[in-house]
Amino acid sequence: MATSRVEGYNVSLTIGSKTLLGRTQEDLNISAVTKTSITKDDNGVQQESVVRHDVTFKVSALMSLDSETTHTKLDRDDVIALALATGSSAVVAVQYLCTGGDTYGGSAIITGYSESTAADPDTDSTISLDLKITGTFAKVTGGNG
Amino acid sequence: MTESIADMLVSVCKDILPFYLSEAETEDYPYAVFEYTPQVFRTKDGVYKITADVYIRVYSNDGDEVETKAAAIMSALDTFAADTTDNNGKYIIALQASPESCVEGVWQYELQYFVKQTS
Repeated sequence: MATSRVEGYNVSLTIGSKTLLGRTQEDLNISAVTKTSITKDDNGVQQESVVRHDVTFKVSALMSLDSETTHTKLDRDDVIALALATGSSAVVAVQYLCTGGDTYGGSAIITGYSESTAADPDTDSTISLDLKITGTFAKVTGGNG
Repeated sequence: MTESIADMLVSVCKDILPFYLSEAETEDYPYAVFEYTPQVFRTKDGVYKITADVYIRVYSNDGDEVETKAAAIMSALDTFAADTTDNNGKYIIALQASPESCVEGVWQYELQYFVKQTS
């Protein structure tokens, strides 16, 4: 079976069907939440079982504005609007795509947004977005593997 | 975005004196040779910025001439960088240092620049 190395630009997170404008990094983190138990039959050895997973994303991008009327990507102002949403509007559909690999999807809320700007013209202004999956995060379509 | 820092430097400086990349193609003074080290920055959608440390070395066997030519290059690059029309606005050109030296009757005036090209 042939193997291939995945280049980072072939991986993307869509938020409501759009990616961030000027995205430079997308990080996925899956953490198992475990439950510890022990009975007398365990002979003093604690047992661990996975009860669920915490799935979070962190997306970094250059701070960019899209002057086009029809935004094909999420610019800085779009992202702030999403970050300030409340109630059901704060839940966004996300898909995590990897060219040639599986695509995963779920619903997420934005748990954090930050901007970094400096006076130095050589320092890029950047934005960073944190998301957390609510509910299930499951395979949507299969890849080549 | 395609890297065009070298082309820009040649375009701005070629009418001031013979201006070459890496190696002079003449033995007649004055002339200038430049070197640069481009560094490419990408988003996942492509290149958005290229920066480079640029070293322009002006040579002459006349101490006054080397200063005059170096000053003309600095002036031309300042003028170019200050022009914020669409064509020129994609470059930031900042002079970092300008040491001068003389070895065996040949004067060298080095202009050290930081150049940033954006899309």
